[in-house]
Amino acid sequence: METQYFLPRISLQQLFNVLEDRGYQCIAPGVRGDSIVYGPLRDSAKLPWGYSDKQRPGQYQLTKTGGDERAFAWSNGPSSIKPFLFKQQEILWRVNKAENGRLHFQPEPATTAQALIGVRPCDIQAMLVQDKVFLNDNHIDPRYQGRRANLFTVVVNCSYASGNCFCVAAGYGPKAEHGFDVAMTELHDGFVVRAGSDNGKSVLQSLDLKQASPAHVAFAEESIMQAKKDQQRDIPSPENLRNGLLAQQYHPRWDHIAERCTSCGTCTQVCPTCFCHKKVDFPALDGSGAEHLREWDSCFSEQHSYVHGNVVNKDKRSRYRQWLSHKFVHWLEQYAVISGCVGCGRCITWCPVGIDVTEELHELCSESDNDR
Amino acid sequence: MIDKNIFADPYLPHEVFVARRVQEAQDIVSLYLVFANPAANLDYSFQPGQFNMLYCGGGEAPISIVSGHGTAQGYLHTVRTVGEVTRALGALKEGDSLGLRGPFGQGWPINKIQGKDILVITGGIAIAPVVAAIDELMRNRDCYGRLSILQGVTHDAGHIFSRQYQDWSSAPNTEVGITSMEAGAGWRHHKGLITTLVEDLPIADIANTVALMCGPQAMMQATTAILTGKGLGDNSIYISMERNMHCGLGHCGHCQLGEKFVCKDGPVFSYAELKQALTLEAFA
Ligand SMILES: Cc1cc2nc3c(=O)[nH]c(=O)nc-3n(C[C@H](O)[C@H](O)[C@H](O)COP(=O)(O)OP(=O)(O)OC[C@H]3O[C@@H](n4cnc5c(N)ncnc54)[C@H](O)[C@@H]3O)c2cc1C
Ligand code: SF4
Ligand code: SF4
Ligand code: FES
Repeated sequence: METQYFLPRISLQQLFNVLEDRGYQCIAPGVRGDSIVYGPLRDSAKLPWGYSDKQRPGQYQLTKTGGDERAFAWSNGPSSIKPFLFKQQEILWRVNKAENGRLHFQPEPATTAQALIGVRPCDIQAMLVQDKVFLNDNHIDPRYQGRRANLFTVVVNCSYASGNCFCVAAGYGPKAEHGFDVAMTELHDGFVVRAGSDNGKSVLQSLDLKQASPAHVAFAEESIMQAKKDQQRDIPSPENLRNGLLAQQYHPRWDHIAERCTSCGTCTQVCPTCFCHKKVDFPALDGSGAEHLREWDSCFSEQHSYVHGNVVNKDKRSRYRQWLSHKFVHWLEQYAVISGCVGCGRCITWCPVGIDVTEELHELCSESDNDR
Repeated sequence: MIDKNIFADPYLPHEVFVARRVQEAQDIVSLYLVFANPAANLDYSFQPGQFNMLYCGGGEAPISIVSGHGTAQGYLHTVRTVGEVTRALGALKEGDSLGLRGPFGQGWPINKIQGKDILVITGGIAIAPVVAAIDELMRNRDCYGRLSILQGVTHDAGHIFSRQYQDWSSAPNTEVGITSMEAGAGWRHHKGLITTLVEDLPIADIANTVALMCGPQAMMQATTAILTGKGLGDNSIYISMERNMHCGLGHCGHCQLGEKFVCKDGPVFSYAELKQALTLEAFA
């Protein structure tokens, strides 16, 4: 077991400073508008101290903890860390057209070193899932790879789970086991921290920390247990998911979903594992070339499955089926991971009509549940 | 020596030139493409059934590789102009520059089908991805059994590559059947649906026969039904699928069909691999 240290609350700023000294841009959560989102942050005083959240299907509410002034007493906000690795929009390459018509293609590199501080365990897991997409055996996206190689992550284990969290059922949380540089668990007076990589070890060394006391460690474990106990949601077993989603194509529940879903695609935008994107070309007005971009896309759009004169997934019913069966069944075969869902609950919270995947999965897979 | 790094970013197109352009039909154009970098031209190789992403006029489109061997003649792509990118491709002139990345995907199981009787069944422009396979079979004609090449088009004007069809029909142990739904007076081939041609085709040894198919999905599904009805196994039917594609790399998600990515696991699949996913998709 990696040594656990104690980082007093007043020393948290030092962690930011050390990372900045090492050339990282620090990115951390903060209250922006009515929610908690990640952005560049240098001052640890601007973390969401004293904030928590309440989440229900279709609802998110920022709350004050009152008395408990911790910085990470909330579960998660609308944005995961996905946009820092797989950008919502980015230039892939530029093409210049010379006077003689020759084309010159120039790749757009990605070099920024980022330190993500205050990452949730589910989002670390989602990042490991996305690694399998963009760093797959056959094809590597050099921009994603560049950002990933220059990334430092400080995960903060959860001590509170919102009403929509189900990382336990999804099989991943609420404690990060790997995939981070430093892991912290927040207590009232500081953090129990441990390194998860050599780079993390070296950063902790320069902080000159004392070893955590057994009491600190016990408190930390207890608070993680609380986040586990908070969770009410469950999903069917992988086998039942497969039977339910692939075999029950005429289940009336699909129509029931289609009646409510607005096909807005929000679920796919907030999901930390969704990777669909489209490419768009912005030609210069003077014809001298173009910028070729990649932009997040959604399987809920009509163009997503368009082949001239035909849309493969024609209606909401088939698009929702594509989303659900990809996320909970096909992902297993594609990437040899448990599933494409890490149980963050965002799609439930941010769906404008409050469609709850866990409920839909139970409805769709219930008959096969009963069969066994 | 070629700098391997030029192939390092799979998103980055290479500059290619149109060495030769042939107007095959009103809406079909053949482009022979040569890499601007001579080393890349030699280094490039592909398997029959693979495709490239061609960049031209504001976007990319997946286009099959018809033929080519790294010579100055270039790699042949035959394009039907249907939308923005394909129209821009069709408007290119000899000497014009465009972008190419590839090759992508898994092609026809050329080695696996040695010794078999082979049915090649295509519809319209979908002849493009199988020409390279037929060429390969012709090069090693002795290694394969009887070859039946069936092509269906909507209008007689859409019948392209007639020289090749003539050459193929005079090859040993090979038959060619061409049909058009609508045809003028000069049409020397069949009239009607490709499915009728398939229906009427005598198959000598069904256990030793495989089919290679490409065309509109409805045509492939109807043909598959006929062939399985004749006793051909799901594992002996290979189909090349078409889906929306933005990357060719298994990254963009657009081409998914069940658990498969058509761009990297396909576009060629055995029918057995796709059967369940195709049934599910049809549920809309
Ligand atoms: C593996 C593969 C091989 C192909 N080989 C050939 C070939 O050799 N010759 C040929 O003429 N055509 C071929 N096609 C079809 C060709 O890719 C489409 O006609 C082309 O993408 C249409 O683009 P567009 O911009 O002209 O049309 P638009 O209708 O303007 O298309 C808009 C967008 O929709 C998508 N799209 C539309 N139709 C298709 C389609 N059929 N397939 C995939 N994406 C589509 C593309 O993302 C495109 O950017 C192939 C398709 C695939 C998947
Ligand atoms: S499917 Fe929903 S709960 Fe699962 S990871 Fe995506 S947003 Fe989170
Ligand atoms: S967020 Fe809700 S309404 Fe919007 S596409 Fe997803 S399920 Fe449908
Ligand atoms: S074309 Fe992008 S995943 Fe297949």
